[in-house]
Amino acid sequence: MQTSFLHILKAIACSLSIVLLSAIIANGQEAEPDQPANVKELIIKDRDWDNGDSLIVTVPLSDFYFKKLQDLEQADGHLLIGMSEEYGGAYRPVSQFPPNDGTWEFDEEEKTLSGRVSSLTRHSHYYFRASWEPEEGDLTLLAESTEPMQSKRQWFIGEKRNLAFVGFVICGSVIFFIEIAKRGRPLKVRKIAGLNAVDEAVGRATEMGRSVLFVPGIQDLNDIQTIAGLNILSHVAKTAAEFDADVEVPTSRALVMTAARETLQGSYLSAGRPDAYNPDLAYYVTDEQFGYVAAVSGSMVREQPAACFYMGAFYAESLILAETGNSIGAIQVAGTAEPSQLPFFVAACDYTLIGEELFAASAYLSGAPEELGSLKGQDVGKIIVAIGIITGCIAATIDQPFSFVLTFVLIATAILLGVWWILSRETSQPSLHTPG
Amino acid sequence: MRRTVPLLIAAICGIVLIVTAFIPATVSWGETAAVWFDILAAIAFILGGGNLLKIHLRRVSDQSEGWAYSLITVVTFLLTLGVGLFKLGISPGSDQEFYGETFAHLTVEQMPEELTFDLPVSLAAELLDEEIPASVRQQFSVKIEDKTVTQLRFRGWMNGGQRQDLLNLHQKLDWQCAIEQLADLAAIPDQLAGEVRYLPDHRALSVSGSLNEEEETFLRNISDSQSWQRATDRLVERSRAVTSYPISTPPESFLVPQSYEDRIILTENNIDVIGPVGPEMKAALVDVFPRTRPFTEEQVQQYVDELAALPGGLTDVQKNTTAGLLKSDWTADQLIAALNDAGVRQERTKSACELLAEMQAGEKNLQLTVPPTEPDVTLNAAQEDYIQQTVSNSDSDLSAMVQTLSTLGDWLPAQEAALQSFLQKTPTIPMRNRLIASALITGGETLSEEQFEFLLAGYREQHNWQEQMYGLMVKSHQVKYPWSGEYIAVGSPFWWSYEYAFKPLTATMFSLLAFYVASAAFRAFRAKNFEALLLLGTAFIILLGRTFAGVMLTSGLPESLSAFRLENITMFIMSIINTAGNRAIMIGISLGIVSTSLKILLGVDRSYLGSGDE
Repeated sequence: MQTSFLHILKAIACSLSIVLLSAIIANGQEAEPDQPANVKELIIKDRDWDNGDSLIVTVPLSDFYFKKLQDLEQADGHLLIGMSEEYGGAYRPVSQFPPNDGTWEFDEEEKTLSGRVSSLTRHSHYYFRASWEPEEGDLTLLAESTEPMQSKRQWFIGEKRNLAFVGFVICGSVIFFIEIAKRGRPLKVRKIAGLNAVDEAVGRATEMGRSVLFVPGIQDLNDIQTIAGLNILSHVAKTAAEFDADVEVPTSRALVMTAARETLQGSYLSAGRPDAYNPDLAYYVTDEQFGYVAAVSGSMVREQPAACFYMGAFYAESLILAETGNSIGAIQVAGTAEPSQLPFFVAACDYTLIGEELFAASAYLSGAPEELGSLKGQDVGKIIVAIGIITGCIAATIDQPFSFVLTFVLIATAILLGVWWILSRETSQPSLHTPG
Repeated sequence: MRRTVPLLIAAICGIVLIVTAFIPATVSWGETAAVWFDILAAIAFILGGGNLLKIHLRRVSDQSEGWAYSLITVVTFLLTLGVGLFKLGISPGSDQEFYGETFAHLTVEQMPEELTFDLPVSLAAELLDEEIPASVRQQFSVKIEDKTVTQLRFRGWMNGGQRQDLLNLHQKLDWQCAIEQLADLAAIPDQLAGEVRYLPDHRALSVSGSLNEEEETFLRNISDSQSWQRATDRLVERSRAVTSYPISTPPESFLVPQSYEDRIILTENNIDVIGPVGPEMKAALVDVFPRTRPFTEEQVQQYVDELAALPGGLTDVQKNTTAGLLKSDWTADQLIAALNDAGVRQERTKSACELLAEMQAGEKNLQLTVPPTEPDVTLNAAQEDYIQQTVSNSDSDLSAMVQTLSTLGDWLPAQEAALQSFLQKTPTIPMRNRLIASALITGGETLSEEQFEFLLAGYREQHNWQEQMYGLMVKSHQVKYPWSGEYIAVGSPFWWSYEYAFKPLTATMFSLLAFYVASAAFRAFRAKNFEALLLLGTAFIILLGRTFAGVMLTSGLPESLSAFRLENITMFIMSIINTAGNRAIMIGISLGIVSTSLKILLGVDRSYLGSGDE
């Protein structure tokens, strides 16, 4: 009995000893988490879809450091990432956490912290070390990479994939509708009053024996508004050539002058009156904004053109030009994609092409099916934007993820489109409207 | 063909620019296309100028309507072009001129063999896959045998910036160690350090100040090559040129600085200086006025009383201002803190060769720095007391404190430098007095002529002396790049015509806008129909909401109805309704731009080239 009792006592004592020993060892490990033997392998990956100047460094952390780094207020140091071009070489600091520069992320499951190291060169091989740098005291090595890593340049910048997708859809739909139009499918385009007035304005100038003034904005040829303006100039000049009226084109950029001359020459040629073309009708004034306005306004007051067209990029000079034109009683048609200048043109001109109408004008005036098709392609873009706006509004209102709401909106849109298609087939047929 | 080629060019350039936005490997293509456009635009600008002359000269010649305007245009165009293009009356750019230095032309190729430094190495050739930094591209070269770099070569002396650029090329210790060795090899000799340097981008051997006999001999002995001797001759000749500059009587406390005694001869109303005067020398010549030191309460009161005793007196506010400014000057405690900061010993950064040696010895955890072995130096009580006493004694020489401080306790060279730097940053007494004068006349207060004289006499003398020394610097300068100044530099004829002719004229045109806005608004706001009425109503609210009267009109509304206050309605209309409308237009514009660009790239719309017909 005594023996068994002693055995039991021994067993209890042993168990207690083991428990105490384990506790001491465990406590010792907790208190000394910085043993060199604990150095882990860093996970280095090339950053996907970039220019080849970044690597992603993932630091596996012990519970001790993971908790420490998550609680930034309690952190009494920081994680330091050192980089070298050779293993065991001079590791110079390249990044640290905290502070989080927006590239650092925790992984709760894997107990890791990942961050980006940038400004690397593609030809070099890199080794990394992650160390804990306390506010006072020596560095503690936590993890290191033993294999060299090189950053690679991908063929596509991943950050722009959304832009590429939307661009692809919109451009694809423009091309699709151009092809549809080329095959003879009738397309309906709403009337644009300002463009219908082109003939009227040029005709009036002819009747009055005065010239037509065309201002293609004050920007250079690398501005799409200037090109849109020259496209319209082509049609205005063709009409003027047919009516035997002069079109004067003062420009504020030398390149625009040369392009305008080409446009005028082509228009006179296609109107069958190449002999009437006078290259001096398109001339350079000055690059200076108000110098240009002064010259054009002075010319307007002196020569009293019967019709004035302002098509292109305009800024503060828009109202000065339009009011001068108004004061001399000219019929005025303006178009710009500068939203801040639209109110001035609306107030002072007879007709105004608002934003997209400036870009649609060329297609509208030419009436060519392939050009009209491009307008339909734009409508697809508008539908995408509308769906995006509606989805965003709903998602923000009901506090749900955008993608979740988008699914429902797309289904609803498909149903509505289907109903509209069925009803439209029963009630009406599309008609061809060829303006211009 | 005439239409097809431009279309093809436009399409290729456009597609390239789109591609470069998404594909990193093609970024340089886009940059090239942009450069082409710039070249084209520059050529077209000449075309534009020619066209302008042609049109207006014809009008003048034909004496057609408004020919006088054309004449003015042609004359002003030619005048502006002339003064701008030839940079008439424009001083060379100060950032290009290397004031205080003398240049002698010497290309890298003319650099003598004696200044070609070779270092045998054994490095991987792949280290040179990276582009060599631009700063050393002319002088640095390597010899490669069997994929191994066997020799590094540097022509001329290597400066600190070039060394750092080469070190930054790679982080490998063997590379960095080799560069450190090469830099040591190509370091400028101590006899010339700080005086002579080589500027490869300027193809010039340069000397600061004047070359003395010893430096000349050393420089000549470097090489017998003809180009080197010629460059030395030129440096000797030009750096010893004497500039004579008339001056008024120097300030009483002026003494020729010891370091420039051999270069300056001061005679009555004249100063002769050997060699060019640089900014450092000018600063030393100008630094002759006593600097401020902390005032005790009694000294402050004495100063205020002295100023108040002069005709005009001082108001209580002025007395307080003066006392406050005098007390806000620097203190002895600030100086002590600065010296203690300088006494903190810094870690020493190990050289790459040291690190390489450690790595080769088997060290796995290289430490980049060596912690200081000696403790920081903090001023002791005796030193602090000495500083406190010295700064409050107006007769003491503060810069001479160094000797005593070093005998009273531990003292580091860094602290000596910190002391000099601290004293250099303190204002001079004339500057402090000027500050007090400007503070005393703000807020409608004024001072009598005697008080102004008391406060500003010293500053007048200081400013006058500074101007003279600046004049001496400019006169002794040898112009290196006469056309390096900005064409629109202040005071030049181009600037004058721009400032006093062009700007007022454009401002006049711009100001016309105010009247045109009024007339356009009058027409736009006529209530012809419902839409016009709506526009009128909105405009009325916005106009009223942005004036003081509008805000006052509805300020009586209770907090619960604050949304109906005019300024809040205005804000609502502008930020919600107006923004929504604007964004709708912007979306349409963006889609229009995409569509138009695509039509141009695909050649669907050729209107801008005249027509679609060939």
